[in-house]
Amino acid sequence: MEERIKKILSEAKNSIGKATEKDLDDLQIKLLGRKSEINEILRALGTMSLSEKKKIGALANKARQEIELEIESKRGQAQGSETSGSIDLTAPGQNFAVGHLHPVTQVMMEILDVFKSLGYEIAEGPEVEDDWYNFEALNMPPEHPARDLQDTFYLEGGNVLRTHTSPVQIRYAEKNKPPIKIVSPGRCYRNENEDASHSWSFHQIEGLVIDHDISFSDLKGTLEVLAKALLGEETKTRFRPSFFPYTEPSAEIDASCPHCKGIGCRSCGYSGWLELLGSGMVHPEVLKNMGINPEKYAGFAFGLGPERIAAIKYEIPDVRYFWHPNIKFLEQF
Amino acid sequence: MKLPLNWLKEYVEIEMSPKELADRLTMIGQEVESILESQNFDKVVIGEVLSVERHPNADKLHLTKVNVGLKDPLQIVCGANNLSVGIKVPVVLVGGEVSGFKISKANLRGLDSFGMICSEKELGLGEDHNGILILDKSARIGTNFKDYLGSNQTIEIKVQPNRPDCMGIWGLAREIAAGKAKLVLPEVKFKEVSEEKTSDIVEVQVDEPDLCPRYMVRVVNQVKVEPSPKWLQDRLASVGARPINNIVDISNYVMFETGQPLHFFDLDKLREKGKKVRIKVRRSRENEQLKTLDGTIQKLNPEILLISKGKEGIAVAGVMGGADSEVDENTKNILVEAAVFDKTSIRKTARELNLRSEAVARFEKGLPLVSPAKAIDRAVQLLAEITKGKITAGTVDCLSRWIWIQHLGLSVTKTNAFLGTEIKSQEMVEILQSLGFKAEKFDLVEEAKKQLGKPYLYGASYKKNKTDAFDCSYLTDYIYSLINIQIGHTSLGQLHHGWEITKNDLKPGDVLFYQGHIDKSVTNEYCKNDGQGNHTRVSTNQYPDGVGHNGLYLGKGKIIHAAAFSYQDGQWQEKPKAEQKVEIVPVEYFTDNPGYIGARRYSDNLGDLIAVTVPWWRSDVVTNVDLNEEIARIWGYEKLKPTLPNTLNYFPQENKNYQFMNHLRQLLANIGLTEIYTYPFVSGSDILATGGKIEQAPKVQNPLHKEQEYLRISLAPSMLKALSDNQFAQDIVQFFEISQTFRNNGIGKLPQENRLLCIGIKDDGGEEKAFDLAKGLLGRIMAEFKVTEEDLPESIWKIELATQSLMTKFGLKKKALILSLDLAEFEKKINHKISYKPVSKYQYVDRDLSAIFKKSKSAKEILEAIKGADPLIINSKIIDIYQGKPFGKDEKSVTIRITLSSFEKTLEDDEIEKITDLCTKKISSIGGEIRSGE
Repeated sequence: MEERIKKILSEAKNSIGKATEKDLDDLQIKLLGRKSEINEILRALGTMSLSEKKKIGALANKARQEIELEIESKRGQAQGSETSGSIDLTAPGQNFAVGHLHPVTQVMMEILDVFKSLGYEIAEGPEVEDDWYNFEALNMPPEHPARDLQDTFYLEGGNVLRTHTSPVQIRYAEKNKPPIKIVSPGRCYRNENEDASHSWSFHQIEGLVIDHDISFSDLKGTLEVLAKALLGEETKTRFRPSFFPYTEPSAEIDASCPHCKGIGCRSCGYSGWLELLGSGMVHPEVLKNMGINPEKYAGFAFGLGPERIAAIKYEIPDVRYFWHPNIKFLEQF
Repeated sequence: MKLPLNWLKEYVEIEMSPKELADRLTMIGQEVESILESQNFDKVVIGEVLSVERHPNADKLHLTKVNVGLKDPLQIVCGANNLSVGIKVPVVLVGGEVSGFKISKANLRGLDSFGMICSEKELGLGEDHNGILILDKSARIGTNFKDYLGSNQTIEIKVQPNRPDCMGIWGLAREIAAGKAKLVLPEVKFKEVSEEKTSDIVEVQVDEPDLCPRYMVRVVNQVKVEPSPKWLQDRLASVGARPINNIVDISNYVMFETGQPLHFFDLDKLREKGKKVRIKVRRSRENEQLKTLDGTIQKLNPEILLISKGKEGIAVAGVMGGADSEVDENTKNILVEAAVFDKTSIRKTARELNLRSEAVARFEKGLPLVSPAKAIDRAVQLLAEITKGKITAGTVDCLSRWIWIQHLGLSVTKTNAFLGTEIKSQEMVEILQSLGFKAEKFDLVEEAKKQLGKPYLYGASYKKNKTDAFDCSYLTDYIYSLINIQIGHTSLGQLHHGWEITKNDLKPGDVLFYQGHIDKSVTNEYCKNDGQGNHTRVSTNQYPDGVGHNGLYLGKGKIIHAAAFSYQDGQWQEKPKAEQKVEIVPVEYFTDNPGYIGARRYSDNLGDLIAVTVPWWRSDVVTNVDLNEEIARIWGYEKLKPTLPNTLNYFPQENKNYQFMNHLRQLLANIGLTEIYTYPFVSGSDILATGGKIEQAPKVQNPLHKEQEYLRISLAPSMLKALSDNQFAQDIVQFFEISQTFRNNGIGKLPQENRLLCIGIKDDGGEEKAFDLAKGLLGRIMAEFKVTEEDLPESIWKIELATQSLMTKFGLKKKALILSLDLAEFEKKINHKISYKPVSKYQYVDRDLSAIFKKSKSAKEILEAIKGADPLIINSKIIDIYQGKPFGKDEKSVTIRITLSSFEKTLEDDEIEKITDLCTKKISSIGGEIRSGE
């Protein structure tokens, strides 16, 4: 009996192997149908002794399953071969319109995602500001030399096109008590000649965190997280002293160049480092201007330029590309 | 600021390569701009210029012969205009390379040139491109330029605006030594050998003390003008200054050393025989003129501060000296000027006269009041040593301000919390000391005891008496001022501040008060110091009986006080003079006195403080936060352990507006539009052409171009320009921009800002296709945010086809169209709430009806007609509009899809037919002609 089952199985495999897709249905009936040999054996089990029943039953059922599988897999093969045979897989499919977000928008979304995951709130403010919010509240009284550095567009009547997004911090802090944990993205303006590294508008994303017990080390940690998130986990950072009127102490953070991994290349001016952003502990005068007691609270602030990050990431040599729309440039992103 | 390492090494012993030193400077907050060394200067050698001739065929070129140590001199054609015979210069030989530029034998206007003489910039050493780099005379001909640099390594530093002290080599040396090495600066000492008194020769009157808080003058007689000694010439050359003669060189040298600019006048050119020179520092008169050292006649105005002699100007203060009093080779006697001028005034003057100089770069950072005193001494010392001059006796010094000495009390605990560090108190002290601060752990009892036995003087103050005498409140005020806790100058002020402490809770440092001997001077007012040298007046009526006396508790039942009276038999008795002094008494002397008022405390962490005195050259350090920065940068930013802020109790609000904007951007990009950014500046004609009114647009005071003098009130002009710039790139261009528009909102107010979406479409398929696309996009946006057509008022969106005149204006050759949407308004219409509508389990049936309409019949009218025709109509919408053959010119074919369903049963054919017939009638009733056979 065992021999017979073996024979049935090998014959079945053989005929399945030779069959075309059309024959499969008939073959299935022949091999597994009511009148099939294997069913005959199964029906005959009732006449066998208990031990034989057990042994033959198991073998016959196993053979039956094997045949079923064989047929299924043959069907699958047939299906695959039909599709690939008759269709040119290299031909393009239906044409769907493809649009593009501005590369700077993409970078901003990426940066803001990092901060949202760190629990920051997004705050926005007007692009035209008055002198108090843009300068004085930020510890830049009239005649402060930093005002010259930030060549400013003045409107008739004395308002200014904001030169940074820091005024948003003052506005937010006036309306909200600490703890404060915000990032403010937006457009800023500088009145300087347009060239490869200067444009009349640019974006900034500024962060502000104020609470009891906020430390300078917290700033360092936050910026390291940001640098790694933007430029890759292997990014090294350098936190170094700097000077800004609105922070004390001030710091800048450099990131190891993602293109040469810090060895030195054209992108980083052969220094291995890229200046990423400016930051610092909020100056006590600025806290006072926000209506916050510097004896009780401390805070840090930082500001970064998405255009700069985009230029680094995509190796774009000229910031003017961002502001003079050219479809051939924009469609690359 | 150039920092030559050889010069630096005279003051600081450091074993660092220029690169290491530059890294160290960077890490302590000095911005390194360039390091002048260590490039591959293969085939760059030192040459001596033997001859310079005009190039026969070119006005701007010179023909030179240069000895580079070879058998024959090289012929080199060079365009620089600072060539002269005998100078040593860097020469790139044929085959060498500079700035990635290979030098080969060249023929320049008919003459062969065998190499190139280089500027600083060409060598990649700095920014100077005004002629070739002239080397030290000692440079050895034919040797490699790299070897030369090896001994002349220089680091170029961009000094921060708040660090005037780092505009001198001494200041930079101090920075580098801080926390690392010993600093030894030259000792300044000299003898006043002339018997003449300076004040007999010159007198100074400062009319504008605000613009010139200090003006100092000294005189050195009988100087001998000659070339400077070699070491001095080399020093100046190493910082990029041209040696002239010993007098001028000393003036420059001291400036480079100390950061304090000086001016030397030829005294005899100022002096009328037998008369004193009367110098006046005043504002210029309108249109006053002065010929300055550079030979220019400067036209002045009252904004410009002038140094004058009588009526006649002799120097533009801090900016440039006058030609008529210039030191020359015949000069015998010198008037040395050292002053502090207002930084803003100097900056403005320099800008107005377009005179940038090393002096201006220093004055405009704001010099400390002590600085001229140090520099003038150094200058006369060198004049005496080098020019054999005789220094007259004394300095004429016009100082109009009190020189504030900044004390600070640094809390070790707070500083560590602020920085996130665990720096030991002693380490902080050492860091501050290495920067020249006085710093020691504050011990109140010790400080007070230092004054024991000093005489009592009523009304004593630091200005008048230093620490030679005290009255009661000055003693306590003085002790607290050492840690910059300002408790007030009088007993009243001190009682009014601080918090009340009972007899049983006394701690060292508490101040105890009693009524004491009240004299007429007792008032209800006192002055409060802000800790940075400014005062405000405070009045209080809290103590009508007056406060007469106070003392400082030292602990262990002891009080220190400065007293003139004693209390005996219920009476105040003036003590004998000899006994009026600072003394220690038992606490009961105060607390048991019938006039005892109480005790006050001003700080609860006196035990944790470092008493810091800021050195005079660090006027940028005025608060503890500034000290925190000093400690952090010298201790090392790199050692800070990165942590994240613990703001767990903070829950951020979601910014819905921002989310919406992002969602919209993403949607538009996903459906095939490309985002653009454009500048917000437009011209008046742009505004008019796009239907706006000029008076609505905010005007820019200082536009870069005339075409950019307004802020945009619509995004259309920039979009049309963008479409025009890209019109030939593709058949269809679909751009979008999300940006602010600005509208005047009344004088003195910020303009109204609206955020708009602008979609621009250029479609070569024609305007109808473009319109179809635009309307479709609007529909897609509405569907995304669940806004229905009924919800959307027509005032917040607009589709406009560019008119012929607009197309001409923006150079558009193809039809373009603009869709704008007011996003703030649109956002209000967003349906955030979705509620479920039941779904029928029976079949839904679609029936399409096509009809021919007059072109003027709007889609809205057609749908209105069908709407509500039968309750079984679930939905009706237009799925196709066709114009063209075979229909007439003013006709269109519209296909309407009607969806029918019932909640009760499957609809029978005759029921469906009944409803479609009804719809057909409705369509006919508004002039539609049903097309048969479909």
